[in-house]
Amino acid sequence: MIVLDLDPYELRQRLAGRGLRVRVGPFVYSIRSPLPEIEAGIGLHYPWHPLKDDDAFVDFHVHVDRPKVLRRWLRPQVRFRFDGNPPFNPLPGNQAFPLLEWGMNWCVSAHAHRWIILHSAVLERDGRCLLLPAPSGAGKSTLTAALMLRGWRLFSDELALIDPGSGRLQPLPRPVSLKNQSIEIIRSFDSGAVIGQVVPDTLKGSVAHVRPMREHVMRHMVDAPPGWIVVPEYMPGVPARLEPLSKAQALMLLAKNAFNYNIHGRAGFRALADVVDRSQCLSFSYSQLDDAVAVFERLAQPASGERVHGDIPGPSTTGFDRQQADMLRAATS
Amino acid sequence: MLFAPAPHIDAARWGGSCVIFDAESGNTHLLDEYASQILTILFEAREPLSQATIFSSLPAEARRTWEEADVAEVLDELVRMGIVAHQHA
Repeated sequence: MIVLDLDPYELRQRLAGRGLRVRVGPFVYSIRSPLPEIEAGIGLHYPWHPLKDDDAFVDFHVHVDRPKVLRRWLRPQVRFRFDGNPPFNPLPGNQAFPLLEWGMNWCVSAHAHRWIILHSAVLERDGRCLLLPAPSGAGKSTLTAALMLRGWRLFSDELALIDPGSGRLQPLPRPVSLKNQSIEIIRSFDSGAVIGQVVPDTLKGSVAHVRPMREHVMRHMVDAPPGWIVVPEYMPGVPARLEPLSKAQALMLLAKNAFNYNIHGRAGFRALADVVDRSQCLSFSYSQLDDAVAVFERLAQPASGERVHGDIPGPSTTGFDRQQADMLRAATS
Repeated sequence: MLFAPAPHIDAARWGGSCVIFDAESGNTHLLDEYASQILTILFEAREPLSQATIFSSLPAEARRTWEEADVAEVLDELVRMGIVAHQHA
């Protein structure tokens, strides 16, 4: 049974009552909220997510509601609670759905230490994962949404879950969060993209969410190995360009973007080093989304056997680095 | 004096670059070119080495520009950082 199978009354009853138990990747959330914005957001963005029975084990019990005192009426606020406790300050009352999404991210990053968790978007193509580790504002989510709409399977726009034993990545398909100009950019990029209500004046500016593709949600338990680590950066006016990134720098970047790296200790270091070892490591700058998607499309093609000569900058030419330079040249030509 | 990687140090090496993880502090470091080369020699040796042996194990290109005193300086720093352990021969 999936969320879409519930009629609006049933959805509202479950949210207002014992909780809507929904599976997202390997996790089961119990979501409770009396707020119409939450009901609308879940109905729009989670229609294909599987439901669990009332007696199913729940990983995260979350609750979004209005405080029961003065701020319920005077400049209303909304609060997020996890297991009955609020881990963050309340937000303005119109930010209920973004707060739920941020809270659901926090649940994973703060608790799911069975995996090594990175601040990174992840997509998959032909059985290999593309990691896009980058800070906020680098254009990661815009690129993620565009790639998702062009055939890359969405794992997550925010969290990379790496199994420390196998090095494989676990999908966590949820709405892609867009900010500010990115909202209209994606709306123009693909008129079929399902984008929810724009919520203005959040700490990140205006925020809206793009619904994940049905087929990505349906494959939410199909993991995949790493294939590429690409550090994106939106730069106005520049052509789309891939550059080699040394594996050492890539490993430092992953460690820096890891939420729980130190909890895993040596095993975490070795797991991240293995991810880097198995991946092509690149930096990427772009300004036009269509050009960016085309570059990634070429990157995903199997490598040609032809050796390319030229002055592609990069690390010292070990055998692996030379192959990487060949693929770079093919992808950006 | 003989030198070896400290037992709480793990390393990932690609080409001439070395990233190390210090399991005691939880810190991760990207070593510079010189330290990377020396630590690579120590990891590959699998037994403690003297400063002279480390110097003679450097790639030919490095030996053209380094002196043994340079190796000593880098080893001192690696010992200070707790990345390399030393023992009397």
